[in-house]
Amino acid sequence: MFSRLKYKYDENVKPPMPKIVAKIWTPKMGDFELELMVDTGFSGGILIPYHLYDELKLTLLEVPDKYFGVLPVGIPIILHTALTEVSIGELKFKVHVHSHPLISKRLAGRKLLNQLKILLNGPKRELEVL
Amino acid sequence: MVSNLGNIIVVKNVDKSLYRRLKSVASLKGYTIGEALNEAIKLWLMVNEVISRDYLDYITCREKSERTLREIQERYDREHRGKYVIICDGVFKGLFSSEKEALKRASESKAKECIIAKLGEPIREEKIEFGMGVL
Repeated sequence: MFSRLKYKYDENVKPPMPKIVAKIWTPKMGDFELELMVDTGFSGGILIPYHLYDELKLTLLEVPDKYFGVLPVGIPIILHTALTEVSIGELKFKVHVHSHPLISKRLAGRKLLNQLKILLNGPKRELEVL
Repeated sequence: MVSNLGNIIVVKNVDKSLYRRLKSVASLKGYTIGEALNEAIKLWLMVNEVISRDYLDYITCREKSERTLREIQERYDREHRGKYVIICDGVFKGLFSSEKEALKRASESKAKECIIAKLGEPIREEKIEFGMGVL
């Protein structure tokens, strides 16, 4: 029987924040597991720090398209973007992974989240993929 | 020159007009001068610590690849519409019938960066929104 995926919120963040675990396919390591904070304010797919993007050799899978962002402090940046396969449990999607040296967070944004049915069970501090 | 008197730091040679602008923006936003300076120092460190020589090499390679892609598009866009092209560090690596084949070939490259593009498709530009969670 298919079991539902459940991930505990990150309790190190106050108040606790929902997170999800995804595997992204990378040229360096094959499938690489990432813990991503759920951020509906981020409109892209996945955001990771540049040092990780470089280490995983995602620089070899870049798209020709240009993605621009403005940091909340007002600094405009051009994102480095690769297209790769992401798996969450049995589910697989093609997702854009964005990166920049000024970014230090690992985030799952709306382009990934909108492909999933998610229950945010706040009282149990648990995210469930339905 | 910087003097440190306990919690008070005296800095010489600060540009007076920059300091006036800092003071006025900080006051408008409800920051103290110390808080605004801390933010400015953090930002300066972030920019200067993370941008390495390696990163600049990667940017140069990406720019070369973008130039080569424009040339390839001009030359082959009609003739090979729908095929995938790989360009690594500015060098054209070939045309591929499927995306899977192109991804496999690019993944095996020893280059710094590769662009995989589908011929006949325009290069898109998109604005990405960030929430406060990005900081």
